[in-house]
Amino acid sequence: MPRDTNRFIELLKPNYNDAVKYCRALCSKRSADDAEDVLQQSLLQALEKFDSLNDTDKFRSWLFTIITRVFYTSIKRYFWRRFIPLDKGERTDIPEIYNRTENFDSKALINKALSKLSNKERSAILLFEIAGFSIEEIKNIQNEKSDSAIKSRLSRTRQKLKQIILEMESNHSGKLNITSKNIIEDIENETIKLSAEYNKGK
Amino acid sequence: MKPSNSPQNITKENKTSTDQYISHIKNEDFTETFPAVEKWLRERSYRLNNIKEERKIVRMKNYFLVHKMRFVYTFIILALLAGACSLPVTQNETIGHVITWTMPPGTSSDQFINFPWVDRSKLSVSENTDNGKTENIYTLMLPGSTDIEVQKYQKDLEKIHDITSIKIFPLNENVKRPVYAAALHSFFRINVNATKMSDEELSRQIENQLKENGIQNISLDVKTDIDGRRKIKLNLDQNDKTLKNFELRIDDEKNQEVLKEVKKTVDQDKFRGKSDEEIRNMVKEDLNNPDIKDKDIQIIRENGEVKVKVNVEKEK
Repeated sequence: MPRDTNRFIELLKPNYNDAVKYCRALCSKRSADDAEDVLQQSLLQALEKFDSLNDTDKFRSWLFTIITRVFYTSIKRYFWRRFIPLDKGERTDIPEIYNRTENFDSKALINKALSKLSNKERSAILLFEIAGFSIEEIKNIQNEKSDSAIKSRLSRTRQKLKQIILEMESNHSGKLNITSKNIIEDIENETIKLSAEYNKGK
Repeated sequence: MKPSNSPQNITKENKTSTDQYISHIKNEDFTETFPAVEKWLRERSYRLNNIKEERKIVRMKNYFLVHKMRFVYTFIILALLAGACSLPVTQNETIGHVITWTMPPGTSSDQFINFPWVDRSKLSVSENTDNGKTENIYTLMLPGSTDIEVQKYQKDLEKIHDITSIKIFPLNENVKRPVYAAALHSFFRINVNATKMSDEELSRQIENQLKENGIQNISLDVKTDIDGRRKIKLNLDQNDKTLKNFELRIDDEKNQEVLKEVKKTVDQDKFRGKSDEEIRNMVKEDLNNPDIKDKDIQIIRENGEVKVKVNVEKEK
């Protein structure tokens, strides 16, 4: 039976932006290549299994469930690749989506903070904050049994994330202070040298 | 009142720097990359539709190629197992019996000649004189007869008053069989459907089936207690040479009980010099059943030899 690609793309379009953001933030510990690899595998799996989706109203949660599972699988693959030189499998051929240039702004800081969370915590907070899923939906995506497990996970993760961000901010500002102090000292030295040369010339 | 810890409340109450940082991710926009991804998806969909079948075969081929050593090892192990199971072992098997009985000369052979199991062509008579006393010795070959049948024939002969002695000799033969066939030969299974069967009927059924399979010395007691649970007590004589390994499977409405009897030959010397307590512990350990009551392990000491009898009760 031919796959209904048009319908799939039609349903994917309104969810695409959130899915791409979720995927990148989920792979915050890893490179943009790895995030694109997870996205590619997820979209291909979703396309292959699309015929089995009976209720298209559930497309969004179904897609995010696939992304989350592909991400978990990729983590296991990364783990084993450290010991066994596994075949990398299908080469990533999805068009380039994420920016490769490293920046040190707030976005980089939140990505670094997210990378310090566990995979489940990171997935839960991103599904709640970025994708806007309800507790019930996150429970289904993460394959948990009770709402309270998700509630406490979200609450704990927010506290943890806040703590990490505060620590990173204080380290960052400390670094800035040291840098500014060094620059001021350099300027003072240069000024002394210049005035000495100026006085000599005079 | 204790403040709620729900994520919604946290989101509302603490508009902290965390939310500001998260908003950086929220505000990212990748929609401009969608057309390229859409194009890529259409290409992949076309390829997926066309090469799905081909890919299956290629994957299978690759799987065999990648795991070929695993397949080789599996094949070697299976071949070794098959080889080990086919190794011939010699078993001593009873292929029939010979019954001899003696009668004084002049007594009529009509008393036994009409028994349906007496085949005249296989019956021979000889005269024997011992200490001046002459007797007719009748010898009957019974090929393919079982122990039960022969015992029945013996009872028939015992009814004849003129017969002075009866002797039964088994006809043994060494048979070579593969290991697996030997294992199956020395093991049998009994299935009894006890649904709507009374205790007496069940007891009779089990006893008959065990006897049909050559187990003679059985003491069986089946009782239903006030809770409606059937208790089956089966005592077997471990010294009985006819005892074989067997599995007794009883279906009783929704319950099924499996009782496995494995004949164990115990080296008598290992009990020598041991106290009753030590022997009981050895038996419990050997049968892997620490729940056996001490009273169910009978220790009989005769002429320096130690005999141990174990009664194991199974509840249904």
